[in-house]
Amino acid sequence: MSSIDLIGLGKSFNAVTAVKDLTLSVRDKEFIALLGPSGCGKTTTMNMIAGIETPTTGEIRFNGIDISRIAPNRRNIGFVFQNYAIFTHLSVFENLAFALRVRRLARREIDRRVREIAALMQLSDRLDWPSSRLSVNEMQKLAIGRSAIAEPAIFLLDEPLSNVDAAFRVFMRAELKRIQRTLQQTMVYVTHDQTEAMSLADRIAVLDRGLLQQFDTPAAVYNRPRNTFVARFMGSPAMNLLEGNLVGLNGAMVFEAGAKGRLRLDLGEAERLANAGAKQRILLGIRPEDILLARPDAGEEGLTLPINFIEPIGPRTILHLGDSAAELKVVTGKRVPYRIGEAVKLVMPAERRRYFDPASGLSLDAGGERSGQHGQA
Amino acid sequence: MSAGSESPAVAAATAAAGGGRLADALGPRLTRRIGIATTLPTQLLLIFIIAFPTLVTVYISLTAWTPLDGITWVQAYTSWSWFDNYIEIFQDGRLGGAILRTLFIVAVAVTSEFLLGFGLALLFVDKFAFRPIYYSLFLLPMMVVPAVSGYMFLILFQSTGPINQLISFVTGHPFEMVWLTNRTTATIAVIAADVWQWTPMMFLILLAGLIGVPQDQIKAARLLGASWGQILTRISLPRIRAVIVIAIGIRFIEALKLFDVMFIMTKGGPGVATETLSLYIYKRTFGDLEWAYVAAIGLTIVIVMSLAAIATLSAVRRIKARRAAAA
Repeated sequence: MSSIDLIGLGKSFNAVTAVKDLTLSVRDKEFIALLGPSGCGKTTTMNMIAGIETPTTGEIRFNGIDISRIAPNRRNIGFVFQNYAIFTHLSVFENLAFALRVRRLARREIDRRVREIAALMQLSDRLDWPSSRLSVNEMQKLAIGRSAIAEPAIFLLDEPLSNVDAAFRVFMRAELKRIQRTLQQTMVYVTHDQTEAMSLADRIAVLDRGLLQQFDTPAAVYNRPRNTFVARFMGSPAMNLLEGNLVGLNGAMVFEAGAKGRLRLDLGEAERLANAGAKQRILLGIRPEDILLARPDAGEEGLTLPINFIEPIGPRTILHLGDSAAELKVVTGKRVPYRIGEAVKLVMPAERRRYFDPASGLSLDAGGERSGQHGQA
Repeated sequence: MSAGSESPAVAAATAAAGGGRLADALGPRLTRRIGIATTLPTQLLLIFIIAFPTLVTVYISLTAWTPLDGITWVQAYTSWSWFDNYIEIFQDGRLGGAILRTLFIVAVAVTSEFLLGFGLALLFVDKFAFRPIYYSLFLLPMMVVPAVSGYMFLILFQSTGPINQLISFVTGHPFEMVWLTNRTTATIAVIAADVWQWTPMMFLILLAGLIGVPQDQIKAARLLGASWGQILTRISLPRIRAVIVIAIGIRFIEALKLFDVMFIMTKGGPGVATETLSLYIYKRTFGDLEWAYVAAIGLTIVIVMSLAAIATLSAVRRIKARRAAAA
């Protein structure tokens, strides 16, 4: 039961900067995900919160109090390692009891709380097993239970689901949410898997190369990416980014994408882009599932492209369109009434379009729609 | 014996001769014969080195023969005495004293070596400046020939030697303890020499064990609130239990053979105050020339030591088995 404030946090290893000027606040009982590709600084950030690593710059506060001088074992945090770090020389019971034993609790109290947490983690029938005989999935639950038993104010999870099988991962996602609701803890969850982050977190902090890219709710990060990195990183397939020119045509603003065609901007859009200082070259971003398909001779306005490849993935189908250098992807329903090589018209509803500056990669939409709560001021 | 249970030497020979194809061509019987023929010289040599002396020792130990009899050992049967020598072992007070003294010295020395070696190993687990240099320095005593270290400590413990000089300097009073002619201080000096020389070995083995403890488990224990001492007693120590048993076992068996240092420093004196088992055997062999009796003692020691070694190994195996059952 604790809030976390990271203020100008930075960490360098010799010449390498792992985390740079990271400022973000986690509210009490909030579940946040640190999301990014490997090497983005998310694990380093987590280690600094835990106290395993010392920040080079900046400050960490729990409940507004600077904790940089507090040793890791006094920070009252639970930490679940990626490889679980189960004490394989101890039984499941002793693993769970570890945090209580080192706190010298009474035997009866330890016994009661171990059984309680074992019930929560569904490990009750495994208590007297040697922990090394557990399956990977059970080790995962043991690792979480072992940290949860001390009722830490803050729970840190470092890629806890990366080693378990796919079916268990889906099950565990729901379990984690349930456990967090039961334990009422502040959770920080490190992952490179955007689906995990989206489904679990109250807010997601997207990191890349040590820099915070965006810190907002899953919906905001997905629908209103602050820059092209977030746009490409979130979603599978990623957001389409199409380079083109803004030109005036017959008194209206038009997005022109060469031979693919052109799109007329509506008045609100044009005004927004002008306010944001958009230049002539611009990136149009649109989620693959937001594109509607039509016959090339349909009346609606859109870009016309040939289908390269049709990729059925069960409930949905991914269409790959255009040349491979600037491929567009469209996610559509199970049934596709088109063939490979056929040209289709892509209709992009104005409210689904996002614009980015090709030079800086920054979003040009911030002024228009509700601005997400960004990590960086 | 089937072809499947060939000796490793035969297997290696056939493998070298072309991955078993030659063995197939020759058939199992011929293959085995070639194997036996080619390894025969080695086997004979081993029999000569190990079995022959052992049998001679057994033979002599059952007689009252000594080289002073003027007959060769082959004729020792003329003084056949059955188990008199073995009975003598249990009635020999000086031997019993030597054994107890050896056990005492070994117990004190090995315990000190373990505690010091473990302490040092704990310090060396974490990196610090100049660690490789200190590391090499600490291992140096182990490389010294025991006879040389015996001389070093003989000189150190002279009444006008460096140790007394140092004590005099520190206390400000002239200190002239005659270390090696007093029962207690001579024992201390001898133990000090052994500890100096063999702590590095303990250190080396235990350090290897401690480095093998998974770092992530230590990190996890720390984050679960364990203090340094709790990590040591709950994670590190239980995980290196087998290593500790091996280290102590090796040192225990080695220390029982304690001779060189003692021989040079005190020759077992004053009186028999530091006379250990090996020193006693040496004296009976070369001083009293009672070779038949010494042969009996020697054989008894081999048997007892073998039993001790078996006990140690089975203890290690039990720990391993328990871990394997857990895995």
